[in-house]
Amino acid sequence: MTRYFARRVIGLIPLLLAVATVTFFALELTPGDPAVLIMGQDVTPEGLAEVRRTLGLDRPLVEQYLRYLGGLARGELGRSFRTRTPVTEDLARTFPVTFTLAVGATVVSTIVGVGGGVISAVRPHSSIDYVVRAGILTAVSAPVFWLGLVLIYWFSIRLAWFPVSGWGTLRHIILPVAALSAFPLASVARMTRSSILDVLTHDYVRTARAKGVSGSGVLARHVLKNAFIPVVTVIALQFGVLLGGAVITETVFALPGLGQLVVTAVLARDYAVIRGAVLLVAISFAVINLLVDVVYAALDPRIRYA
Amino acid sequence: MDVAQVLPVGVRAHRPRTPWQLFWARFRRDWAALGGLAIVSGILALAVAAPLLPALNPQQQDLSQRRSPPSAEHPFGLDHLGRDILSRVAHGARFTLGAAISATLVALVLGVVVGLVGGFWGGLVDDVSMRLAEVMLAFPYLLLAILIVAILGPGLASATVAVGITKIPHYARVTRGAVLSLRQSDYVDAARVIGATDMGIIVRHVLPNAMAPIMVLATVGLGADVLSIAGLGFLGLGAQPPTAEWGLMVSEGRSYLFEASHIIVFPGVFLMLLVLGFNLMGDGLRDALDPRLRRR
Repeated sequence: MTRYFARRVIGLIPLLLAVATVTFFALELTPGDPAVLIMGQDVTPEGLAEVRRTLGLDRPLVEQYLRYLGGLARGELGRSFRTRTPVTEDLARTFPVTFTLAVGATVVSTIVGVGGGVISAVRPHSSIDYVVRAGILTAVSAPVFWLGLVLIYWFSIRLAWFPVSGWGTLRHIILPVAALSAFPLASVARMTRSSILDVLTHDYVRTARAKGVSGSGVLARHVLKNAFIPVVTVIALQFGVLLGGAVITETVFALPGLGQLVVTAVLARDYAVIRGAVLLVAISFAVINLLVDVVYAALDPRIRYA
Repeated sequence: MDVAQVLPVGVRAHRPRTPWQLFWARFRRDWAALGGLAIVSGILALAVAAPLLPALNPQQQDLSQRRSPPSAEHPFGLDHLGRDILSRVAHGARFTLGAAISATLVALVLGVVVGLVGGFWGGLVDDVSMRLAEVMLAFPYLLLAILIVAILGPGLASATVAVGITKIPHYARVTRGAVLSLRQSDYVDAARVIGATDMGIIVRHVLPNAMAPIMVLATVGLGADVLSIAGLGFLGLGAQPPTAEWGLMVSEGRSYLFEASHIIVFPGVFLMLLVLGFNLMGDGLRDALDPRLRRR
């Protein structure tokens, strides 16, 4: 297990190197000169050359790339082309917001999603099953930005229970997390339901019933534990969706997170910020996937890592 | 002559049914899937018909009546610039649906080709494409789309291309998986023995059999692509004003949430309906194409 874990951590390095390389060169392909974007159209050639020199844009591409990688190795991501602040500072300021949202939504969607899925699967084709399934279909179909606005309309404007925007207290977090949770919650509920129904058909469930284990005992000891493995996969996959969805949710609720940072950077062609943010999200995504594999091993002794 | 015509009235011929007939027989008993098909067809009809109806002008402004709520004359009301929301929703179907279909086609064609080539011949193409897919899947989906928009510059066309490219690895992987299992099958060996070329085997034997999982992926994927296109529009990275794209319409209306909430209600409801339609169809397709996976 420890050896497997160590190998997976080492395995992250080439992947992240590839991600860093792709983001570096992809953004080099863009038409337009960031120096012009920073200085505006009516800049003197001398001013332009000055900006290029301070940003290091006058160096050969290979040198820029190697400098970038060298900086990465030291934990540096360069400075924002626009505000001149170190990118690491921007990320340190915004990432906690996005991470809080994503973790909050993961917790909510796991608890509510698994609960809904279990309720629905215990009595298939009952009216509660149909209610849950209709809810699932609605939630996977609603655009997150629209859902967010509907929540703001009812709970912030009409009922005035929550602030419309802002960040800092629990009351600021509830509506964004609710909007962001809808889609992963539905996916988790759907997978829980079908996974339980699948496990219920297995022989060992019938055996447990035959030897007199009570209904809830069978569910707790035999069904849920086995049904949970594919659910963990869905939760992990959803985390990536959440990091993306958070970009939109932050825009709806005007939250000072990574999403806002990225969107502003894209519109301003601030390559340094885009690269740093994309790399950070890819790293967190990779780490989450690694942790999920560890959880698997704990849940399913059949999975062995040599 | 058709077998059915020589049989006495009331006796049904036991004709061998084509896969398409088997599929349709199952699909048409699934009312939810039919409902999804009806929703998608309805919105598709709206998209096709919108420019043919001169009464639906998505750009005409009536500034004196801006933000006025739904009325007999304007069933969906007017937006913040006094434009008829019904007209904009109808025309918007062209942009949102059109972009989602284009993105799915881009991903489907490129992904299937890469998956076929890699899965069938293996080798360097396979190694390189699967490594590349791994790197692409290391990015959260929407973030990769945003990165591509950053390269191409904001706009509906860039958003479409971006969403399409991010989906290529999904189709490539599904196709490759299907091809790998089919390559070993007896009928592919048989075809090779009677002298079929690689291309012939792919087109006549491998592709048709790999089609079912690809179709399911594409239908469910269309719903997700609608959400991504509209999401990019909402962020200001997709369609640009004054385009009547649904996501952009919601974004433009959000400043008037308090005094004129009808501006965001209609594009939002249509977005949700369209995605719901694709999801219902996708579930129905999966059940009809693979009865073993039938929902209980």
